Amino acid sequence: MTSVILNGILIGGVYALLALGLVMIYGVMRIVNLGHGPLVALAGYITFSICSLLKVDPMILLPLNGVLFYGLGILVYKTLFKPVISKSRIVTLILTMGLGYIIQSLILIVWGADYRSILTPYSSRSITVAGIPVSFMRTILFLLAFFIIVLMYIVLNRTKIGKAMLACSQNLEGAKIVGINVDKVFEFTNGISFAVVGIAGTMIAMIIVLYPTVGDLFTLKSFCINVLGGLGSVIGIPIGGIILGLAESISSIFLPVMWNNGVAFLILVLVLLVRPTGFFGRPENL
Amino acid sequence: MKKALVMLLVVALLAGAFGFAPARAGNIVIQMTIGSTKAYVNSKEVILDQPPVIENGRTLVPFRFIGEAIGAKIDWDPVKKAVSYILEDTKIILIIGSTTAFVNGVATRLDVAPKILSGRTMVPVRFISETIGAKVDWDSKTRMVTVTVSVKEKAPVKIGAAIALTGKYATSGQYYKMAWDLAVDEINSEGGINGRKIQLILIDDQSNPTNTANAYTKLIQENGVIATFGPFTTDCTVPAANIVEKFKVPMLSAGSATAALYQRGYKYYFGVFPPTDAYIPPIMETFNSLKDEVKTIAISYESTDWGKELSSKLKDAFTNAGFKVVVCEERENGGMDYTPLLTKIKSLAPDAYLDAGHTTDEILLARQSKEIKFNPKIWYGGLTADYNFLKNIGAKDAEGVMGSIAYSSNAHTQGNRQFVDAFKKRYNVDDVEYHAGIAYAAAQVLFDALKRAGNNLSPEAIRNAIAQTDMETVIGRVKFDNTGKNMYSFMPLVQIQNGKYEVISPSTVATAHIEFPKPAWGR
Repeated sequence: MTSVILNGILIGGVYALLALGLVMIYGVMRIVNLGHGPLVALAGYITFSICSLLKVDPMILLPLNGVLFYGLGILVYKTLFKPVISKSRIVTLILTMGLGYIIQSLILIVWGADYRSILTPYSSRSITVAGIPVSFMRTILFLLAFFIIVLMYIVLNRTKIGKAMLACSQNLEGAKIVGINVDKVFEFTNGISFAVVGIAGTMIAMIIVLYPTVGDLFTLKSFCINVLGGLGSVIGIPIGGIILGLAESISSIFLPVMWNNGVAFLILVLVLLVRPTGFFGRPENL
Repeated sequence: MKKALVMLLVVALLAGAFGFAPARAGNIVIQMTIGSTKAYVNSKEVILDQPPVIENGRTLVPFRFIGEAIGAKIDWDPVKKAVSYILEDTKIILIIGSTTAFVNGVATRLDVAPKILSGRTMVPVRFISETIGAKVDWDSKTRMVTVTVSVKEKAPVKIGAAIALTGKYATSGQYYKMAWDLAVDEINSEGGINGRKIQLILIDDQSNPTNTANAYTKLIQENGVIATFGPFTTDCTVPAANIVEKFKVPMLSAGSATAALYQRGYKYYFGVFPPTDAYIPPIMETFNSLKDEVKTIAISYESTDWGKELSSKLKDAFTNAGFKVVVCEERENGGMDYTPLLTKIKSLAPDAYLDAGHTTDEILLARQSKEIKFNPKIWYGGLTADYNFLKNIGAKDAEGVMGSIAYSSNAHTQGNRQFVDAFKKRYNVDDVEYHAGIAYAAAQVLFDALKRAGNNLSPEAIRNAIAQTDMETVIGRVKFDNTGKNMYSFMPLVQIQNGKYEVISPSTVATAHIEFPKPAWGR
């Protein structure tokens, strides 16, 4: 039982890291980024290529991929999101869906359809916590997720740009009225969200197998966490992630394993019935 | 370009009949000199038994030589003393000593009768050539006859398939395309099917059964394919088989291992992929030999038709043989975290663990087994014998893992060496993935059947030719029973030992002894 709960919490951290980029883009810009999963996969593939080419440890690439994806985020915002951001939400939805397909096709062209894994001496290692073997990589991912979420929380609540992001998230019109340069805030938000995606992709690529359409799995999980924790709520992400992780793990003790997704989505439905905004969401974020 | 290629092929085919390499693309040019045994076909020298002669101002040449040179089917009737040529829709019959010849049954007068010289039948070259539409030139100075046959492009033999080129099974789908492209190019460079090139039309179904059904309908109704290869995965194969059955177009499947497909009474569906039944005997042979040490067994399986079928057959076989199956759990197909499943199974402490699943899941199952230190004495993953498993796990962690495999690049099957070499060279890869091997075998069987069906390439004739197949392929012998199943289906049990796949069962083809118990992960 302890091992199951421990694993549930750890995988919850992985899910949280996965969902963070999606949540921030939605929270501030109201864009549902369906290209989220493929972007995570892209970061994984880039890590795979650099690691196998230069024979370096993938951990070194964390800051590099962060910067690279920050740049990509700015570029995507300026060229794709900015022209349509004031349009109907359906337009941005279709746009990001298309972006996702383009990235998947790009992966298929550049890396081919073969399965890819990033193997390091410490992948699949385990450490012993209270006499229970737990995955070393997942522990690292959990800690990293925790660190990044705390960092984001500080940025949002203590810095000027962070407060501007929160303002845009709470009331876009109000933010414009008090003189916030909404365009700059969106640009920064997209950049920083993509950076988080880049970091998440680098780490997650080390615990899964990469193939061109692996991203679909990520989009689904991230979306579920986003809704559970509260749409666009950064602080809700770890809660959503851990609830999802625990629901999957604990249900498998009592029920057939096949039902764990069903249980996770049942909880999602129940939460939506009781609190339509998710745990930490605000009605204005819907 | 296309035309030139076809000509090249025809010339190559003709040249092959004479035992030399093709000279150049274009028309067939035959040169003979009166009184000389030296003749030339496309500038390549051929020695004649009997030199051409002139009779009443007409040149007579050896019957067999000119027939083979122009690419005609030749025949000799000793009773009627008649020789005949068949080239496409023209049939010419000549009778020795008679000036009456028959072209498609119509009597035609010759200036000079065919005759026998030194045991060789000599026929008038101008008559033969002009009847089949070839051009004849006479050079009185060098006394040389030149026959130029222009080769018409023949309509290609169209075959088709829907296969996953994008989507969740694109990885495996690509291997099918690679193998089929190679097989098609090989047969076309050898002259195709009776001189007709094979044209393979592939449609990407993205592993979506609705797309698959639409794709086969389109292939048959719009593209007019006369035979098909099957798609990948059972989920897509079922609708595809229903479509080809409805239109009565044969299908050679290399993409479904489900045995239930053969119980549906299909007449046009044939499969070379070993069905789930084939997995069981080698597994049981190994387990029965370890009865003292292995008593409890845990099984998990992916949520697909194939996974369900294989796991239930395994469960039945183990139960009947006196083993205790402690759990048989269905699991998600293509998930991220199998730790809950593995933790549950670990808590039951089985002696052996078997999973019926595909490669990506097997990779994650193996890694996550290692992470939670789940170390049963036997760890079997249905498709871990795919080389992608070893590549994505590393030899150290893969040590002792077992799986089943339908094709192996180092198997000593007929033609396998050449296939593996050609595949590696063409695609610049270091090994041949097993789906590619099975796909290639399907192509071998279909092309062999097309050749045997001869000039009558109706779907019905092709179907009958496939049904009569009994041949050696890269996956071993193929012969279909009346349900369309390969009765020599073969699925050996392999184990990864020192970074290599070794066959451990059946003992008749084993390459190594079993490593038992499996060492702990990473040891």
